Amino acid sequence: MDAYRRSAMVYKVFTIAFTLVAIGLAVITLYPYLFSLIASLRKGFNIYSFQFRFSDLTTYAYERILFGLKDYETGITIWRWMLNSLILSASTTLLTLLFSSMGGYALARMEFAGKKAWFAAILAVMMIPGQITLVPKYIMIVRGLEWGNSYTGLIVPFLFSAYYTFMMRQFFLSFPKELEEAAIMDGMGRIGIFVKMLLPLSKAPLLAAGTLLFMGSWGSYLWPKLLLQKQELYPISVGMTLMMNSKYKAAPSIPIAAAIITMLPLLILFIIFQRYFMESIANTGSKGA
Amino acid sequence: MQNKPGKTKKHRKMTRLERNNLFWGYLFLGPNIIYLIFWTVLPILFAFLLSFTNYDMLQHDIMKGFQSGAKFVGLKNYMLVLKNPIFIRSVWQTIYFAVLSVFMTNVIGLVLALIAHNSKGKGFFRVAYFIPNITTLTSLIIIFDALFRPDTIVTDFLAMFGLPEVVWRITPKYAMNLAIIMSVWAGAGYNMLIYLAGLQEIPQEVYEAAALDGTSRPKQFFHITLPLLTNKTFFLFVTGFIGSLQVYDMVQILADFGEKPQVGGPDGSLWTVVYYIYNVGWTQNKMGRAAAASFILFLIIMIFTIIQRKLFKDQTY
Repeated sequence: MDAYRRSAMVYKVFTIAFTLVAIGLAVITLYPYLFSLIASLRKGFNIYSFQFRFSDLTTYAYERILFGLKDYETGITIWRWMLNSLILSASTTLLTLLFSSMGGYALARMEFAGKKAWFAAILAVMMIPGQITLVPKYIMIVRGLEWGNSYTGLIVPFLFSAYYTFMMRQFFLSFPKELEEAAIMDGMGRIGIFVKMLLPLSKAPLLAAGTLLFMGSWGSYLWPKLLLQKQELYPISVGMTLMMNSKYKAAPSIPIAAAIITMLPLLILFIIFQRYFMESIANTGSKGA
Repeated sequence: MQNKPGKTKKHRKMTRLERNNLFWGYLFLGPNIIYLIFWTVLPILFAFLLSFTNYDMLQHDIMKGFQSGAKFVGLKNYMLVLKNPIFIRSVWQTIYFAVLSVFMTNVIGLVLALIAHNSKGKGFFRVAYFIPNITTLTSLIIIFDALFRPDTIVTDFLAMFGLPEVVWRITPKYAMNLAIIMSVWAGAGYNMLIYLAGLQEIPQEVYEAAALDGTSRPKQFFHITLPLLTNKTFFLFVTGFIGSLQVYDMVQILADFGEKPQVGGPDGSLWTVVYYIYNVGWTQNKMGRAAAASFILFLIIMIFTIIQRKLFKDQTY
């Protein structure tokens, strides 16, 4: 009885310690958000320490950014950059999704000569570091196609994703073949099957991949910075770096508020779709090794 | 095609369905194939060629090819890059960044996965641990720059361990470490998801059998859980190193923006290889040399991948 009681004690202590660690880690992952929210609402220069009064909080920084702040030389507002980001991210995401799911479907469900070789090539591309194509791609886009300073140059060359093609293939593989065969019997063509059957039934992985693609594109920095010279074309991720510059030194709460505004759309997307994409990433990883 | 003698037989054998499949297969895979050829294979070949020339973006018109005055210079670009002290420094700093961030992201990711797998309120912890992953890079930098400066809770806490209260972003000793902390904070949640999937694949019976044999919890972890996760760990290490050896935007934004911007970071402490490539190619316009540097980095990444293959193969059961 005593031994039993002791092991029950040990178990209890262990559980409590485990829970404390779990909560501690959640504090570490969530605290920066709380911190930046408070800092963005404060006045003056000393906005970083933890001593503050709730009555001193003000939405001044947000008002300045959303309704007042314009870039001194060009008169660009954050809305413009947000809109640019939205256009870029939405079009890149939709087209990449389309190509990835088309390719994934072909690789999963069609038998044709050369399929294995193409599949191997796509897997190989996943292993090649992207920076190696940095210089040539830049020259091809700016000098060859003369797409510098345009969204064509930022969208068209970047619509292929080995990773998501692979992810969609894995999904279509697990899709019941009978449904497709029945549809062929009914005289449905390949395009009909793809558009009317497969895509509606792949809502979960498409939303997952779509959310991830959108987030990646929303935060992309290197290519917009390389290709765009005009500030009014900047996406928010690059435009933000201008806000970090000395111009806005007058109020350190402004860049922090801008940081929150930038990630807000992603936070909302994440909260809506989190269930889908947490599962889908996990599935890709399991077959990726 | 039909006139070739060898193929005729094969052709006759091809049923209507097969031909149909060939057509639709290439139609559906078509966009990917075009991208693979034009935006991956072709650029790589082009970069390789370029790395042996003295192509300068301002001086030479690339559309004219070698008539523009650009010349083959043999291995000169590679030599110049390898002799450059900034490049050497950026290689070591990149490796420092990659090793620390990949290891820490994996260890912490695994701990998070174990918690999210076993604890009560799994749903909450999964979301809470994954959220940092969706932070936009620029936002991440602004927030962490604000956190790692005197008088914040973070530096007050670290001061208890004897760390001086400084602005990390502009202090040479701390700037790169700040980048590592950011990438671990933002990246661990992804690794957690992958490990979580691995943990869910381990059948519960294995643990029950081990418990019956009297195997202790820690032993179960090291002898059952960890070995059964080897595939995931391998996947995360390989992709982690491929990604983090190419670290660029994070260090560049840290170095170039905010108060006291400085190319290369405080005292050059933020140079990484891709940052160097960017600087040589786009600030100095030496595209040939930038291409050579990127092939050297490619080699480094290959070496890392091969080493990991070797190490992990010995551990696979």
